[in-house]
Amino acid sequence: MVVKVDGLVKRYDKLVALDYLDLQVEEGEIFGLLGPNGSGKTTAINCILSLLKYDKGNIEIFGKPMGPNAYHIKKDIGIIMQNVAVFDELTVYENISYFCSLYIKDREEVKRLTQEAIEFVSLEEFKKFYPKKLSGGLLRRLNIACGIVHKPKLIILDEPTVAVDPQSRNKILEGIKKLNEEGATIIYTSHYMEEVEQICSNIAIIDKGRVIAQGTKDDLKAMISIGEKISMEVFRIEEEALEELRRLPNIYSVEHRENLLEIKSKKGKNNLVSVLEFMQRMNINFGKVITEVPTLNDVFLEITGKELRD
Amino acid sequence: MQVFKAYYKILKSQLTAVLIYVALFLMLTILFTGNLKDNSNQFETKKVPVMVINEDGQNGLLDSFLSYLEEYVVYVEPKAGADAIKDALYYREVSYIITIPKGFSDSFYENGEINLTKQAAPDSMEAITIDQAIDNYFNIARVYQGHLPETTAEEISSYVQANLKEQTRVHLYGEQKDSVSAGHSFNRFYYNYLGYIIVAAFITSVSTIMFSFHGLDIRRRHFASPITERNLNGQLILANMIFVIFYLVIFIVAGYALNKYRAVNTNTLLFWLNAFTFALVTLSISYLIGISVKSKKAISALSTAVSLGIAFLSGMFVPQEFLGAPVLKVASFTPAYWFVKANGAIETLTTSSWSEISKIASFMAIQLGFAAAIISIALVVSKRKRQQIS
Repeated sequence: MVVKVDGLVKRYDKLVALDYLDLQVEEGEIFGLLGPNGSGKTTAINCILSLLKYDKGNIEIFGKPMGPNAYHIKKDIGIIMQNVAVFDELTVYENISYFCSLYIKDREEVKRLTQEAIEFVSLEEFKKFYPKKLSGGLLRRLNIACGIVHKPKLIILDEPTVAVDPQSRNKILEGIKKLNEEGATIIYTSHYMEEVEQICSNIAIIDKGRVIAQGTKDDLKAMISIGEKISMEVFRIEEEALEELRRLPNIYSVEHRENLLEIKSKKGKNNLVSVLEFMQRMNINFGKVITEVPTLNDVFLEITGKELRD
Repeated sequence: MQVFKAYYKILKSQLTAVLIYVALFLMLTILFTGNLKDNSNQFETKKVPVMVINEDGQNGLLDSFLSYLEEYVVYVEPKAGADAIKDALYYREVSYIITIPKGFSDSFYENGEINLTKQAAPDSMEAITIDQAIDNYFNIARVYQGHLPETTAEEISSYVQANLKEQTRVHLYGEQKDSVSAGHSFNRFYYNYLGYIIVAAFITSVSTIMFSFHGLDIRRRHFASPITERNLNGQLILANMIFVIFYLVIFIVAGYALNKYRAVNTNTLLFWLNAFTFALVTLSISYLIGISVKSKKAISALSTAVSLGIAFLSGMFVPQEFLGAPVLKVASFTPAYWFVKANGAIETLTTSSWSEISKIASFMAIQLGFAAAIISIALVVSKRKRQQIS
């Protein structure tokens, strides 16, 4: 086990930021910490990195207790925080080289790793640029390069794609997958469920400082009763028809709002076919039809009663 | 030494501003010392423009008088008409007008009466010299005329002229500026002004570097890395000290080279030591500013405000002797005041006795006390910032 967090409690006066939080991150996985803003993700990361004192609990990294003076553990960790942490007065190359030299003593090795990191984030053309001359996306890539340049065994990324354009976001996500393929264990925090679904092999959903569900994305989706979501463009439908629709087999809920009929069904075969047959039989006109499998947002919604982005 | 190296890479970005301060200061010092002439041993007579309106005509007495007066004055051609004469005086074409009335010479020979009409420009200092010269001539002439009544006008004139040519050598004994004290005066001026440059340059450079290293996100990266806090701070302190020493050495060498009365003596060493002490205080101020401000723009504004404020208040620009008691009272709460005061005491230091040096040492100790207080505040700020990390 790379990271083991047991019963972590962190209070800010009366506010409980972490409420007996438990986490286990296995070697080689991309562990997603998903939760809305203020759920305690960043606090948890700061406690894991010993940047923040906590009130109760135990944290072990690589099987050893983690603390502010655990420099032998810190040398194998790379961090990429939400805010870009680079020196404005140093060039792209100098920044990456400096942060590498905090971990690696050998000069030649620093040079080699710096070059590799620059290539990894595709900043070759910009290595003599100062951070102020870089766009938001390039700056994020520089931030990542500074965090991973020393080839850490554990990489912690705290919302690295906030305010990033889609192109840079994809590049960042691809990079994270690549780092994982090269052997690094990743802890990835985000409130973007799509990102977490896209790259994480193990996901912990966190709310009010507690893990409310954990597993693979399929495990999490299997926890909830919704199996399929059918959305139809319907301009007019009688209340009686809606009642009859609710009585169809496997149908979980039916709602008609603003010309959109939303049908949630339990797991089962031919849910869409039976709905379409019903509409034809009742002579109800409809437009676009969209069918979706449940998302992590549905999981969060069912467990907490609120949306992930609330 | 990765932090040490990064310090100097960041300093490179501030180098232009720092070098501008060095260049401007040295240029002004060169200009100032070039224009500074020691006139204390020189005397030059200045001739005053004078208009003489002679209504008495030419004769031996007046010819001799006017020729004698030529040593003090430059004659300006007389103008016609009362208004033209007044205008000449008003527009300072002449500083003095002597009107010799008709019958002046006869009156003098008969009863020794001198009835010259004199007009001088208002508040003219030169008029006193001319008055004295005129009185001198006619008083001596009157003495000869009174005691030798049979002598002719020409003879009297020749006696007076011979008399007035006699000169007596006078030695003035007083405090004379020697080269040693001139050297100390230069150093006092030089190091007082250097105080301003040190404050402005250090805040511009050191505060900016400290601001970069103490930014919240950078500190998080450092704390999460295997570098110890002691190692990080140790490298920063070392880099700061080397920068201070290097910067001071440049100015000490330049000050020594520009001082034409240069000498290495107790006073010079004390000037250097006082400058180093003040540099340490300034370093602590720059450190405090660097870790306290929230933007780099604030550093630039503070650099100007603090350096000029301290310089004017403490007597770096205007000597403390000219500052009012309330200003000096306020200034005494700044380290710069004690720096300037120490420079003044070093300038007048004549012996190497401990009783004299101890006063200067106490001024330096007060400066170090300020440094210790400022560093204590900085440590509190730093601790608070560490708590703010997350």
